[in-house]
Amino acid sequence: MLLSVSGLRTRFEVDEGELWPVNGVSFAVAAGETLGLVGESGSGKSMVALSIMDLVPSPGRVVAGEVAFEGLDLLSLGGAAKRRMRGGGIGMVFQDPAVSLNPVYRIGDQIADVVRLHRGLGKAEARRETVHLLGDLGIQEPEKRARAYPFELSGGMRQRAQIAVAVAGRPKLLIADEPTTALDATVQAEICDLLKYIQGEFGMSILLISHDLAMVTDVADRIMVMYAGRIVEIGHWTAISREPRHPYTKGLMGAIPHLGAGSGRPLESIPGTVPDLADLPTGCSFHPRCPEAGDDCQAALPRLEDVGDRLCACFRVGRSK
Amino acid sequence: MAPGAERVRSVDSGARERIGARSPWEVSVRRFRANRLALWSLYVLAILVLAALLAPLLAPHDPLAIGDVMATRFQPPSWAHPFGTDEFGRDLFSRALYGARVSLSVGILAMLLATSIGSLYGAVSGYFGGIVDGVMMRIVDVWIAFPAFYLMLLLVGVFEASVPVLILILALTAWPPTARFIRGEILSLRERDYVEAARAMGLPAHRIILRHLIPGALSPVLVTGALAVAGMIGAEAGLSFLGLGISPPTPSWGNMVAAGKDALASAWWISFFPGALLTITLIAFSLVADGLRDALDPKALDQKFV
Repeated sequence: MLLSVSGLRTRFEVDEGELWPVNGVSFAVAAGETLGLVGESGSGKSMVALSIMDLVPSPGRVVAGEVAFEGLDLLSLGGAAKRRMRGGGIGMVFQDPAVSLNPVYRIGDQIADVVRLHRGLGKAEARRETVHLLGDLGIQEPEKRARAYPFELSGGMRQRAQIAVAVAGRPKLLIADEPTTALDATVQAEICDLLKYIQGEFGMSILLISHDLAMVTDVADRIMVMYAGRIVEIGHWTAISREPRHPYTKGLMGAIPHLGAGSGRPLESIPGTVPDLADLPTGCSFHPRCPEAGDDCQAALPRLEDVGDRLCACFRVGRSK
Repeated sequence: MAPGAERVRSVDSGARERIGARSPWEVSVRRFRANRLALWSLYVLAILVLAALLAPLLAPHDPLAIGDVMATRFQPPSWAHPFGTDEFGRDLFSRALYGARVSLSVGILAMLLATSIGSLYGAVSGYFGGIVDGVMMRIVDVWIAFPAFYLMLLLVGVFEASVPVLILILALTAWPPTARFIRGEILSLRERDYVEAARAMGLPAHRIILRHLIPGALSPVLVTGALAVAGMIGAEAGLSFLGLGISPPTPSWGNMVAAGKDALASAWWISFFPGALLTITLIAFSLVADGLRDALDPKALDQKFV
């Protein structure tokens, strides 16, 4: 396994008490695999990414668990080794390239910076590598675009440029946190294609985080569904999309609009809202919104268990025949 | 070639150039130029700086030469002596030109030094936060609590006042407010996504501070810097007026005003011209600072210039 996360818990200490946006999360990403992480806003999926990178903002802190990357324990790395890992081992793409690229530097300089830092190339070499990379990632006239400032590019181009920054250090894992959310629908499809291309061409593993289950299903090999800081279902994308088993995953699938056959059915929604992390329901966090909930769901927390073709955390889901 | 590239070409290729979007810098320049008062102030300052630089060429007389004192002293302004002559018969126009060199260079260099020290100090304090920030800012508090002018008086009392010493002393008393101000800017800047992205890319702290944080705080620094020059020139003039700054016979605007203060009733021009130059310079720097603030404020984005 390239990355293996086990028992990860991240705590925020605020006035309301302790919040656990990541509450005992374990998973692994194999080399060359794309793992999709899905959940509503506030489910803690971005915090998983930041915990892996050890970039959890104050007053948050990773308090338990282990993040092993190529056998190294990331959470106990020292300053220099940690910086080598960030960008060099694991690259990260953020949601909105309009704010995660520095507005006052040319695109090419921001990429070349990372190339020089992590691959030890000289100025001229880094420059050539940058232009090559931009061209490879589908940017027309890469020479010219490298000299452009972020505001001179369209949203889609900017996201390509940001992905170029993230992969410039030749990381083995790319974490993409909502990489398409800030983009137009047509551009979203292009970025999805680009992620697949990167994965094939560079042999990178990808941890793709999104609230958009349809998009994740399109790109990912395996899908992991998160709710209120915990993983509720994880399995191969075909299994999850063909037959979601956790009631929450079912709800998410039902909320995807379909075109063509079956488009006559009404679009479903999950009743209620994501629970307040400061005031989680007892037992299974999803039970107040769950159509299948019973008394046992309030009483105890279901564990993530092997139910045959996947792992699922629900009392209603038994081992499949 | 990555997929999707073809589809993008039509949208991407030169779309922005056709629309003619202006860079933030261009917008700011336009806005500054539309501000008459600031623009004229800038011209005035440019002329003053140029005059100071070219003083040896422009000065009609030697600023230090004392000739036939009895024949040439206390002459009112005339074509031969546009600003008149002083008690020793020296040409005040020439002295004012050379005085500009001292006053402007002290003001500008002291500002640059104070701003550099303050920016670095404030940026380090703001970026690291926590205990580092606490200790660094308490030092600033103590420094600021000490009245700046008394600190200056103390320092010029201890050290022999020369131009470099004066610059150093002025910078040492002026950097703490800049540091505090920059720290505030950095506190908000470091929460920016591109700073987090830079950290996620493994950039070391000094690169993040120098490349991503300080440049982001540059425009407010430019504004406070322009104001600080006015403050520095005023402080130098004050010290020189009190006889603690640049000592005669080397002319500075401050000691020129002081030299004429006893003859104000009979030879008003001795104090008047350097005083007027000081006033004009200070007002011009303030107006330029005002113009910069309006031009660089992204919130005051006026559609007219975009």
